[in-house]
Amino acid sequence: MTVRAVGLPGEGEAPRRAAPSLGVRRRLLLVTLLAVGAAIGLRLVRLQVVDHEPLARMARAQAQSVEEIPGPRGDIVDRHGRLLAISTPVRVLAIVPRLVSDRGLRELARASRCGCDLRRHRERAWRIVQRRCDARCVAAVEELVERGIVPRGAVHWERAYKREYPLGELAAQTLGFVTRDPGALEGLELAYNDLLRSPARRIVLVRDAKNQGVAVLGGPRTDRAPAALMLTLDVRIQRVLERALDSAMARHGAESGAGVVLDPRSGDLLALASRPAFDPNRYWKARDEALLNRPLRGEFEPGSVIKPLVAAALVEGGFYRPGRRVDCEHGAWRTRGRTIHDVHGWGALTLPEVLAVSSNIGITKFARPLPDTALYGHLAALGLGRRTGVDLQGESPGRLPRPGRVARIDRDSNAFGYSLSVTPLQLAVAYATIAADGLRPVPHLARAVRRDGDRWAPLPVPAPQRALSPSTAALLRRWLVGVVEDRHGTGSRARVPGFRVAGKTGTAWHHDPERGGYDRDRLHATFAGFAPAEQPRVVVVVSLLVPRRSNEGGGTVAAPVFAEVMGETLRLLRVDAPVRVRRQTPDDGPRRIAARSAR
Amino acid sequence: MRLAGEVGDRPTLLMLLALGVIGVIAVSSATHDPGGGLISREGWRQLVYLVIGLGVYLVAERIDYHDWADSAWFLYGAGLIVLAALPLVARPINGARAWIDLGVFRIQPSEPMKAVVVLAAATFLAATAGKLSFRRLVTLGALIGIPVLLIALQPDLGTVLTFVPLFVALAWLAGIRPRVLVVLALIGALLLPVMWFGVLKDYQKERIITVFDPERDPTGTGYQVIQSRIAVGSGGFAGKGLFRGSQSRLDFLPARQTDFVLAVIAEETGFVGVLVVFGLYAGLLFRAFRTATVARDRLGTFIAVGVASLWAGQIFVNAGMVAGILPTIGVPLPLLSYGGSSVIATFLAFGLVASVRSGRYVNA
Repeated sequence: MTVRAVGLPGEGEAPRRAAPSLGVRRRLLLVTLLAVGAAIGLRLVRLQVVDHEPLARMARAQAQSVEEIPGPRGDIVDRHGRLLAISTPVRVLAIVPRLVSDRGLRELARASRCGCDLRRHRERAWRIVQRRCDARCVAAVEELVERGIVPRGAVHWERAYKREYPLGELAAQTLGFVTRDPGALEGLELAYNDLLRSPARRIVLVRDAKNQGVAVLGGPRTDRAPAALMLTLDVRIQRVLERALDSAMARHGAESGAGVVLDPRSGDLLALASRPAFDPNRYWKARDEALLNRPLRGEFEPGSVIKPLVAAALVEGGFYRPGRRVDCEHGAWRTRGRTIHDVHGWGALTLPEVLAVSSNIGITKFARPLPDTALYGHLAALGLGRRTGVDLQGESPGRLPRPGRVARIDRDSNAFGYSLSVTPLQLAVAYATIAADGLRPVPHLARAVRRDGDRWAPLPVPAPQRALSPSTAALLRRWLVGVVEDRHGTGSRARVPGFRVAGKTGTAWHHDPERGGYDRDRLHATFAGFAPAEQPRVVVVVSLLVPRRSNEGGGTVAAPVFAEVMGETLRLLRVDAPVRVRRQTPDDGPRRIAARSAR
Repeated sequence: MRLAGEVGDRPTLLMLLALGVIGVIAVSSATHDPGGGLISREGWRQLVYLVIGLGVYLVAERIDYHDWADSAWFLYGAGLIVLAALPLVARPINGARAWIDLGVFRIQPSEPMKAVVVLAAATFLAATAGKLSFRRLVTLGALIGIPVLLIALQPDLGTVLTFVPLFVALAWLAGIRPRVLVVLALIGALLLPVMWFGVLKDYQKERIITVFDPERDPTGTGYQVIQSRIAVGSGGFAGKGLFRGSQSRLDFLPARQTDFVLAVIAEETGFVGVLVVFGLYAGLLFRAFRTATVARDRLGTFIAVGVASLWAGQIFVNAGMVAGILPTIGVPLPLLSYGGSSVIATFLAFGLVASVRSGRYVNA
């Protein structure tokens, strides 16, 4: 059939022509219809399938804002279950500012103590007024609603939790704190965040096209924290350490202090203190120097406390010959273009005598034959120049020279604790290695986890590493007893009645890395040691940064703090005082020092 | 007058009712009040319109279409008078004098006039068999053009646009030469700049530009286009769930129970829901074309094709607007948009088509 249209413009009537084919034309119409329909259909496929995601995002973005509401965090307790950090329920107060009068906004700001001018946020669909509204705040706001000053529909409450530290400043730097936007920021709160935190609850604040808050959508709430953490810390010992440090700092005008109490066998940290401190309940008010966890991060040049570690390297490396003496040059020795001084002048001393009187000249001479690799290798084995592996973040590795890269003058200084730096925790670990028959423990704070129910599941104790032979460790222990017990020993003030104490003093100039030199007005007064010497249970390291005064140093400033902390700790741990054996004489012990020094 | 008896068009009726019920649900969702019931006040009203429309359909179906054709000129004339009188009697709503207020509800005369225009045009074309002279083409243009002009004066440019497919389809079917159609299209194209600079108001031009670049004024002219696009797109394949469309629930979507009701359906029931709606519309239109094929005479064919093309025009213009490929023009989506006049006019028009189908075996 042919398609013939009739009636061209101006053509007039043409009666003979056949009727137009309705069928073909109708089909063409149908095809046109289909084509247009298909075009719209394709467009819809594009919108709803291809571009769905971005458009859905736009829909969410214009109607929703998401807020994270912190869930409860697990408790942190000490080794006896005393609460150190808890999660207390609070409310988050959100309002729809448009629905509230100016007066209502003013009163709300006052009742919630948000310290904000809510009228400036009038155009917002939603405004979070207070994230930690306690019972009093809730009551005050509810009263405004009751009195009709604030419409009921303008106020929305959301349950939340806030972190509290019942013991305030105690172990503040170690515990750390949790900031408002729930990110754990410091300390154990950061290190064990995954364990302690419950997933933040996301609530969706919905607004309409007029930018007015209309609803709050939220997922299910968790009221149960995922896990609680038990620490190795002992609140009583922690308190003893902090108080002893505080009183010593007051007495000596110290600006900062650090203390470590460590179980040398297990690596359990019984106390870890850093002064000055802050209250983690008001972390935002803390000064920077109070936030620093000095046992881990406070690197310093240790001075003489390093000497027993150098001595251990000598013995371990086979460079120690019992009975060998060196001339201590009576207090001043010019060598390699400089003069090494001792506080007191001594003559010929054995290695244990050098340790007891803390002779810089003596230890330098003893250490010289020792090859670099042996010296630094053994110091590294004792944990210097590397992180101890404690379960806190941001630990400083200290600074230990690399063999072959060290100037000889620096190497001499290294022997008596300069030109290298350590943290108090590294010292505690090194002394713990001597205390624990040569096994270097990994210090740690986490002891057990309670996931559900009331059962505490102990956490595995990191395995200690062999760093010294047991015989070297035993020899060092005897020598360190001499430091405390000997009449001329520098550590006599570290004595604890009823126990034999082993330890070493350290007094060193404060090295100021920013100014690139030594600050001759400030000293690091350090004491590191352990007791009972026969079977050590506790390692204590105390280090204070004190202004320089005559006659002050590790022996006078730090040793008494050590003695106080050690005595109390042994008492609290119920360590029996051994039957006191009156002055056991080391093989070439320091008894004869007096006679020789008189020469 | 003769009643056609049992011979009805059941599938068409079922599809009309299905779309009508979907419309009631969509309108209810678009006007949902959180405190109210499942079906909103507007939903109930839409249901009433649906029932009235059903009655109109059943009556229209049972009246032989030749009888309809006999009264076509009377209806057409009456319609013209009403349209012409509108500017005098109607109070403007949204800037347009398009409604007659009867107290209980308002009538938009341009809606039933659509069916009447189809009837009149079909009657005119059927009167002379086999040719479409220039004069008759002009007459056809005037037949459709005069009411369209009156509607354009309301002003309601969207409705005007939907008449273009009707004219083209009827002219084409009546035997217009393709060449002539091309010439007409060229004239139309030449008229576009005239329209742009002479007829269209600034806000209308802005709406057209917005289709290509909605971001140029996202809170103004582009707002509806963007919000509709977001509603449709965020619905995705399966939708957000009935009564759960955030775009409509939170007032982001404008005119959501009327012009943008398809966006509500797209958001809440997704591509699947849109496909169901489109399927029903396609079924309705194919059925009308089928009726055109089996119709006993040219009158029946022209009525069926006229209704199909005019309603296809409305559906496409509305869907194109919701999908963001046509400017925002106030054209209701038949049976889904809230409003009695449109629903009843649709039932009336398809009732005519059903009458054509019913009459196909009867020898007059």
